[in-house]
Amino acid sequence: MSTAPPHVAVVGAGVAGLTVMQELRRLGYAGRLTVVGAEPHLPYDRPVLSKQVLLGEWPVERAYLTTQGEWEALGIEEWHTEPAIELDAVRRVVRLRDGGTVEADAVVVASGCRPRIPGFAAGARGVRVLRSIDDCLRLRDALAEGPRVAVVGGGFLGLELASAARTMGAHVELVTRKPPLERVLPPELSAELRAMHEEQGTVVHCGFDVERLVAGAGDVDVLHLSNGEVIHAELVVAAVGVEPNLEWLRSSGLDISDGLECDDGGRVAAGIYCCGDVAHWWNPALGRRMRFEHRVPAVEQATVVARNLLGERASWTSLPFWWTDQAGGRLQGYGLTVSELEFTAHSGSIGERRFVGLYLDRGSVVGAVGFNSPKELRQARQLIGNL
Amino acid sequence: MRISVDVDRCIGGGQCVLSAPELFDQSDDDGTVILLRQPSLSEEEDAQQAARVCPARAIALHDS
Repeated sequence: MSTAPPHVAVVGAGVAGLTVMQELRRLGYAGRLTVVGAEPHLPYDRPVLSKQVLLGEWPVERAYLTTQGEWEALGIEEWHTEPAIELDAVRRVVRLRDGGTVEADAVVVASGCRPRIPGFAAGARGVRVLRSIDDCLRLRDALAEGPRVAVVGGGFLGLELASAARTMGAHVELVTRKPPLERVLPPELSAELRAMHEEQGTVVHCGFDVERLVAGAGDVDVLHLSNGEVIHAELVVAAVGVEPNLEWLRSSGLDISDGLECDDGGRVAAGIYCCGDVAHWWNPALGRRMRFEHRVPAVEQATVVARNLLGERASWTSLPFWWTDQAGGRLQGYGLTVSELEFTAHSGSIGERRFVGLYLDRGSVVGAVGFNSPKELRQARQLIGNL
Repeated sequence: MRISVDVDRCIGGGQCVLSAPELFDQSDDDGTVILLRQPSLSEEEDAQQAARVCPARAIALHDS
């Protein structure tokens, strides 16, 4: 404990930032903690915002990661709810938007991501995004009106949104430039996922962009697609990816070209650490640097950062895990799951919608995906080489 | 220590089985958590790890 920094500032109050603080306290850290969030909420969980909470199956309270009492028990000295705007990485001073500063012995960058705003949204009225708990509640209320919905984006979030909106009874049109989860799934699995969404009643427009969005009569927006098709919707939701919140590090001298570059222990520079969506993390097991926008890696990285803050030499080398629930199906992945890799079937069949497949890189298994096969996937995980 | 699991929250990630295979299993059907038994004193650390890594916060630990 002798090497523990007397004052740790955590920038970001999502699951990564919270986990760093919880782990520090659990490991006996008795020093000062400051947290810089960007919202006036206790830390909350994001995966449920596009699932149970959006659907109204869960009260919003179930999304929070701590109770007020647990939060207070962390003994946080200062809780800022205005975002950081600058870091002096040498003196470890964080400047806040409200003019305040935080001077610490160690700074943890866990500032997360924000939704990318597509070009067609400029000047249009009310293109929605889903990232925050407030976004979720506004969207839930809007969906309860039973509108015609256009979802733009065929990634994890866009597909979950389309599925949730259909479940709530909305008429849903999904516009996606690439096939569903095209960056992750092989073509035959992506096609089956598309079929499931179509069976659920979503109209899928695949291969096209939204070129223009104009206001129609009343509350209706008119989306003009690149193939000339026209969609009318009362509610337009964009889910076209996220951008890391790293602009505040522009003058810090740190490498933010693709996330914030760190080693296998989340170390960025002397007294500077990072974890979560922003971290471009060196993974020795996978032999590459990677950034994950998934919940489980964020928590595992945060745990490692807490240990390293206390002077250990911990490393996050475990296999990243992700999951998604949509259109009545459950997809999960371990390791490196990118569609440009070679892909081979392991068990089950895609047509029967129970399937495990493996991703190969130069002959060795580097990742696995499960389609309605959680247990078989976990068992197949051990095939992933040297991990 | 006593473990309780919330199957309604569980997303079938199987992280608990990786952390504490002696305490947890997954259903063959949807992969949701099955609590095999309560932990012995020497298994409490594994149980804590399982609760910590659960992506759905479906595992709760109680003082017994």
